[in-house]
Amino acid sequence: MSDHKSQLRFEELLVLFIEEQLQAQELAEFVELVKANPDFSKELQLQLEQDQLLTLFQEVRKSDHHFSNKVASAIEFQDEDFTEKVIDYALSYPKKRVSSSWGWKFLAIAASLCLSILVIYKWSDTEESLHFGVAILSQIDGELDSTYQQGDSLPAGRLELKTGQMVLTFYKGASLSVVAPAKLELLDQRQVLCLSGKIRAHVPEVAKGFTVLTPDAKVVDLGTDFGLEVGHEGQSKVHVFEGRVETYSLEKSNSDKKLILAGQAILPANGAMFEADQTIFKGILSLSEMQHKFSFERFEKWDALQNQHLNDSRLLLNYNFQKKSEDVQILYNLALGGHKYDAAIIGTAWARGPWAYKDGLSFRQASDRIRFYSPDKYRELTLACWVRVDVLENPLSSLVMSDGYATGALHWQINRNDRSIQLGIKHENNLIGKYHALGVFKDADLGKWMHLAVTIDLESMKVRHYKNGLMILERTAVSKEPVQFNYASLGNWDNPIKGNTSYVRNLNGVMAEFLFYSVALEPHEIEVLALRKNTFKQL
Amino acid sequence: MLVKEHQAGLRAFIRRLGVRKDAVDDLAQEAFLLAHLEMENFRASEDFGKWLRGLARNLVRNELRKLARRCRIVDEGLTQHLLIQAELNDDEKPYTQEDFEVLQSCLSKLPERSKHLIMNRYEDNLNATTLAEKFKMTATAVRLALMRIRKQLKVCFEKQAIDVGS
Repeated sequence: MSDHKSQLRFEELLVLFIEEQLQAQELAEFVELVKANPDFSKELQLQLEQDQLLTLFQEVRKSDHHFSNKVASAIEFQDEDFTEKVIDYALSYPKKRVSSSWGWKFLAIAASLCLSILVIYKWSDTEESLHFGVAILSQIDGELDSTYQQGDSLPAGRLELKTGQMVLTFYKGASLSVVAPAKLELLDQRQVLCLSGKIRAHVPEVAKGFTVLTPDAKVVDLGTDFGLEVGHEGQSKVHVFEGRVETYSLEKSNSDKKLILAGQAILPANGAMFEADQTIFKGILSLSEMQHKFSFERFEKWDALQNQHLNDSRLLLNYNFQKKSEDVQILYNLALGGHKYDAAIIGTAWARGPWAYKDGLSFRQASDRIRFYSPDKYRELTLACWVRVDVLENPLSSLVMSDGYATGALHWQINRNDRSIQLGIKHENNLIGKYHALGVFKDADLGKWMHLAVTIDLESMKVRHYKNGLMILERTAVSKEPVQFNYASLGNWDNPIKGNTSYVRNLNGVMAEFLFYSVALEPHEIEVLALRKNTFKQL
Repeated sequence: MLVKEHQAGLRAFIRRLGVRKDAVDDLAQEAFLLAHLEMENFRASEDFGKWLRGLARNLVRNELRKLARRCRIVDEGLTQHLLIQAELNDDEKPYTQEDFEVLQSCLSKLPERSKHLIMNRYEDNLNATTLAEKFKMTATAVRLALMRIRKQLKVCFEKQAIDVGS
């Protein structure tokens, strides 16, 4: 075939190919022509590309958003088909993209990630979440027989306060101050059984009808403030300070309703009336009093710790997030002799911290960040922060991240999809250490102050995660090579991809402290940082 | 943001590999999903678009293996050939969102009849047979005309891109 004829034939087939109209025989002929002639090959690519671009162009006003949204949605709701494709991909090309050892790791991680996301989303996609709480543990300064913490929603069930005091706020509006030792059983949002202990109830009008049961009585509040003592033998005394209550004895012989008014008290078991005694309940604090007291105590503890930090040579960075009126854009490094590593505040706004007199910096915008520099390499370190995460807006929310992903880089962040608090370390030879504590960031953690810490000891190959002073995960490190922050951001990630474009991983919340030690602190020391214990033992 | 910036270039790139037109978006979406999963392996020093195209190439190669059960590739031999060409020319500047403005300018310079033909083909999604009736041409003539207009646009685009660059 002459060149001219060949050209005409190619064009004839090309236009049909673009429209996917070629028959099998014509397609085979077309492929041969393309393979044999580089100009035809170029022309084919040009035509395919232009055809696609013109298609996109006509859709562009809606299609780019539509397509972007489709991808975002697919990332959120990865389907089984996609899992299969990723696994296919990993099986097919383990040597091309990843080293042989990483092929299986990638496969396992990708599969587990997909499956965990599937479990989370398949469930949440089809059913509304159920909430089983009846009351909130609004304040506690003492010890419970369970692991509930301040701010947790409590389901119906037994609760024992072994020491100290606590305030429960029931969802219908009543609040209950409780002094140890006390045994309660939360029955529902408007009923509680007090088996023993001393309580003071505040029941606003909206919660009228709130009922406290005791072993020998039923106390129905009619909108008031009353105190209740239940002795070890189960006998109860009710003191009314404001408004009125109805009491019923559970003894069959004396089950009539009794109306008790302000200033009166009763022994429901026998119906004996006497004068209400405020002094018995004098030590019981209301929620606001307790919050006030608690807040100042926390500050005092934290402030005492600041004094210890001043002499701690292990502490490399101490950003205490206390506003200095003289320079609002610098976060001073208060570690011993560490002032040269002061941080720069970019975009964040000053906000209230977790307790009285404590400031924090609020991260909201994609640009909000605190920049710092730490050039040295370490085989041991501890990172600790006080943080309140308000919303997990992005797939990944940074706590602290080295810029980019250079060897030795550290990335400490929260993953919205699998609810992990994850530490990633880029080790030598592109080996990536993923020390992720899966599922530890709960919905209930949103909007609550928490203390997070992670320790790395590459000599003993241990990476430990802590939440509110308690160890939640220990992983074995995969490398002993030292790590470094170099240039890094708190609450964001600086990783330019192209020009000024970078990933959005900003934190949405408030940070109130960041500490960086050159050693892996022991569990009891992390408890001190989280203000669970008073002082460091070994300083 | 990354999806928005790279989607047009990636979709055009995938089509150039001989992927069926109606499967291009699916594969582009899979490439973005894969990028999302593999993000930790992406090095900041790399060109993200190039890395993404590498993922897309591997996904297309993967398609070749399962041609029997799902046909997203027009012809296996052709795609093998186009994959090699794509690897050889991987340094070509990919299309970005901003390039649509250049394309718009090139379209505006077309003769009216060509402009109408393109709009009817791509905006109204009319096929060659329907266009032939409308423009009183044969279907083959319509297809050839479209081919030449696409080529003109490419030439115009490259010229404008150079002008903008200089």
